[in-house]
Amino acid sequence: MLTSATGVAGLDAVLCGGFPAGRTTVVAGGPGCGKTVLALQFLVTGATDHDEPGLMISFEESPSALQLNFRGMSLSLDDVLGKSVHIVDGRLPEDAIESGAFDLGGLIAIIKSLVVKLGIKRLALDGLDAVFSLGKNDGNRRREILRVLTWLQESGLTALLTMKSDEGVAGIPPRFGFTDFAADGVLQLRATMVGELLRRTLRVVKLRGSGFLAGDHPYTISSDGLKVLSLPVRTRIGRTKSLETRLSTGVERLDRMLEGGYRTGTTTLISGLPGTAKTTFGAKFLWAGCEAGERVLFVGFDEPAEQMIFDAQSVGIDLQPYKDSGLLRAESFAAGAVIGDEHSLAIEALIDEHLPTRVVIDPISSLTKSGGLEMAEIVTERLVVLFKARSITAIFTAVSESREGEAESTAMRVSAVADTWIHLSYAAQYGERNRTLTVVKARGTAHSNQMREVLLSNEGVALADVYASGGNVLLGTARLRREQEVLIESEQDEEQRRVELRTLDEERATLSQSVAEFRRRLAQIDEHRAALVKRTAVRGNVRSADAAAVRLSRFGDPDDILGVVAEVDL
Amino acid sequence: MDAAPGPAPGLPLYLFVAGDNPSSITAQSSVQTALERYATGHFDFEIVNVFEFPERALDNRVLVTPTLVAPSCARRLIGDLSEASQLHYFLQTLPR
Repeated sequence: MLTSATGVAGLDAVLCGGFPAGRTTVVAGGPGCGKTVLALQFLVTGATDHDEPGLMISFEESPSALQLNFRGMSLSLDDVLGKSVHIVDGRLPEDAIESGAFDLGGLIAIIKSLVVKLGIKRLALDGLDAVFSLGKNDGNRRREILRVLTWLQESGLTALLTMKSDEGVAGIPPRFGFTDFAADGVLQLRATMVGELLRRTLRVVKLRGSGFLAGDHPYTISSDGLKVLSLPVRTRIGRTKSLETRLSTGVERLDRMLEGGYRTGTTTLISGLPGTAKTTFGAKFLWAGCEAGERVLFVGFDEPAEQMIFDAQSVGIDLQPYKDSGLLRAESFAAGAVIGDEHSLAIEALIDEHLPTRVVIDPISSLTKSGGLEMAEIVTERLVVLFKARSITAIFTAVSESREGEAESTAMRVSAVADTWIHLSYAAQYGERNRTLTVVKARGTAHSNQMREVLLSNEGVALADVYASGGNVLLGTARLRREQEVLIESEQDEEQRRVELRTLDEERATLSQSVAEFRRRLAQIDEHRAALVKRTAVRGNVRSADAAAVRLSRFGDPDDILGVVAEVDL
Repeated sequence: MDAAPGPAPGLPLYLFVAGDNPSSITAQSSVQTALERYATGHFDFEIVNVFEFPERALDNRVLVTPTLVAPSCARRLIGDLSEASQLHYFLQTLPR
């Protein structure tokens, strides 16, 4: 089925395209539900974006009052009024007195002639039921509305028929339940109170020839007109590749604990008791983004954003220059002032304006004040889906109610939708209160499961190892003492080694001296011996020469001579 | 369509009808009877078919039919005018 764009942000998605083209849709709702705004958005969009001139018959408000009311809105009614959007005053003159049954022949005649004359494609009958305000005859009203609906179906116009309704069973307005049969679409607008806050929801009761997103969809009315919030049926990731990259947390040791930082496009929950430095981690994350030239967004609930910047300064995180340069956008809202849906839209608008890569929402748990736990859950989930779709890396902080480790912050189920969960806590021991950090979960990351101590100083935030000792985790002074002990132990080892070395060196030196002495003596001995050997040889030679002479004279064996010589040489 | 009798120019009085549907016929005869009986010559009476003259319907802000309009004094009766006494009162209280 062909559809006509509604001009209402988010509504086309709910209607799987828009209002059925060439058909009639009934919009029912109580006073102040935005029926007239919706009708005008429909007409202005048709005229401005789709070249479809529009006509409104206004049965409750004068055309001049309508024009005046819409001057405060971003809807540019003035630009098109009298050109491609026409408004006819359909109010019954005040002097009218009813006398017997009547029909809507005049209305149909007027519409027919204007459709031809002005080339009308879109029609809105706003508050048609007001025509029957005088009537006591219910049968008359019923018959005439049906007559108009029947005529509209033959006309081929894409029409909206807005009517007041009281809350009815299953969202069907009880007084106009019969329109259900004749209209191709029925939309119910509703306002309910959640605590002291007003929540607006919209429901498609029927839509012939088309699918639609069933259920209640929250919407808001602002100067931009109606906006419908609908969660996409499929969640998706903006850039799949983004999951492979990591963004620095701004804290070196935490980066190491998380294999490099938060994964791009994921959401991290930082939970903890008040004062456990949740905001500081958020500020540090934003600061790291600014340092890398990224655009970042801070959304604070209940505390002014300026205060966050000031407080971060005290722990050495200087965000002011980035606020001034425009890289950092910091906004704050009073959580309990409006319903959570409005906050959701406001954050979405900020994201559209600023296009950040990093977002911190501090604390998300404040949203329970804007419509209770359920509302906070809905908004959180919507934001997570939105951030994923835009590849925004986000931190939600959440204030824990109690110190009980894993049980807290799950009340809002943030921990379930978040990809990473870091829990900050206090440990009180030996008269001290020290901050601790634990990575409870980190999807897709082989994270450290060890607790760390959080160290805050005016030079920034850092993490330190903790010592497990006798079943206790040592923090603060106890940790420092243990660190010193380790240091002292190692110093003692060093001294001992030095002493030993010195002893060895001395011993070696003594031995070396002895070796030198021995060598010298050996040399002496060798020299002395050599001298002795030389002298013996000379004497022997003389003797053997004599012996040879004797032997020659006696004709003796030469062996004897040799024997004598040999004896001498050896 | 003009059915106004009498020589003197009377007060303009229009009955807007939607063709010849039952309530239009009822209203038409009611007004004619009343005029003949009580107010002959006082009014410049005209029956206007909105489907023939939609511009006139628009100018007079006539969205429902039948509508009896006395444009000079901004008074109107809507419906089939089947209650004679109401119609009589309306006609009698118009300024002459």
